[in-house]
Amino acid sequence: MSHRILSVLLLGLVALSPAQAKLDLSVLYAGDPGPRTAEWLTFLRAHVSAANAIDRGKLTSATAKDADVVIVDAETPYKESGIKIPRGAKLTRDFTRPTILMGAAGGSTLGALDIKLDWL
Amino acid sequence: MKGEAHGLDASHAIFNKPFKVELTWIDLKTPKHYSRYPEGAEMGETIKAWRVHRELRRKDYGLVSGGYGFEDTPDCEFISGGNNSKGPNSVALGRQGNFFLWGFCAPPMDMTEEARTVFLNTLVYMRGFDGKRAFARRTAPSRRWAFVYAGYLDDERLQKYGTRQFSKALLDEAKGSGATMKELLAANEAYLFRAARHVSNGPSTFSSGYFAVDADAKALGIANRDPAILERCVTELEQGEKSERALILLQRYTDQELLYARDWRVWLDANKDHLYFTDTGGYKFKLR
Repeated sequence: MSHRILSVLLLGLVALSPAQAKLDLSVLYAGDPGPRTAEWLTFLRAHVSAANAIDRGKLTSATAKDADVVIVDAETPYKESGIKIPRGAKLTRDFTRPTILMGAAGGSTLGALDIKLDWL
Repeated sequence: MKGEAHGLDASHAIFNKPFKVELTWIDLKTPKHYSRYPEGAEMGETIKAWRVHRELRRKDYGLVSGGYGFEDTPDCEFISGGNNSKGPNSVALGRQGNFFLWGFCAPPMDMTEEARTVFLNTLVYMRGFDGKRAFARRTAPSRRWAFVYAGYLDDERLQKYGTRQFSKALLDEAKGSGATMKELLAANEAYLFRAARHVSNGPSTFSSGYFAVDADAKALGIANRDPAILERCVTELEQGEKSERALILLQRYTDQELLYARDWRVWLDANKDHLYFTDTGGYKFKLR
């Protein structure tokens, strides 16, 4: 019965656009304090039920425990003074929260994880 | 990486659920350096691509992961390549266990509307991987790299590096020609493996090994990634036929160090339905 209800709800969602439907998701954005984080939070809060931000360096299994999905991201490494590669989140393979790794911060995080996803 | 995805699997959930995305396709001029890769040579002047972002408000570039052999372990899935400075098969969108690489660098306001929707779908998709793990490591290059390195033999700047990538037997037969090497590799692809430079029959390593044709597997006529090679070798051990070769092959292509036929039979019967072969995991059959 609950499966049928879920299917009906999902079908309803498919018919809607992202502007009309808010996803029942809690997202934690791990980035740098600044305008990029603010932009992400504005976007996420318009589309998911809960979105919060955390300093990337503070991302752990404990700080991510209430998140359905984590995003690891950073400001652009291209500064006026040159390229400054952001430090990645200090994650290990024991971190099992669903995690989206973006751009240079994601690449830096991959270096320590030592998995097949890598920064080529 | 720039702002276009290519080689993508449009049937994947992130393009369809919960929001169906009608992808707008563009013709992207094929990056010139793609021609150095076997797949790139066949791509033509333009490739079908999907735009993730246009010009960024602040300079930035995305990143890709290595694509060759990416999906040879069960924790990985390739979803899309991207317009990048590495190669046409590199991973721009892909997943390993609970980690998803969204290699594009644009923040939401710089993404196309379609990309923003795909990103939302990706959030939903990834929720299903809570508690999963990325377990595979990349300990050896996929045999697909051998075809790229063969091209290095014809390039004066890369020749020295390319030469280090092959066994003496292959180099002798190719006589320094990249084209001949590619023909040799194609003829022997089923038997290629990554040999260790310093340890006989030891585990291959990413940086110090080289590609070689496994003469033992070739003599059997069974591809080293075909599970039938294990059954054949165990049978030969049981029958006492060419048992030295059988044991070498079994130990080379598994993580087991068993010695006796009965032990190999027990191990194979217990595990044969759970085995997969991985180049990137060291040219081994492993348990899923």
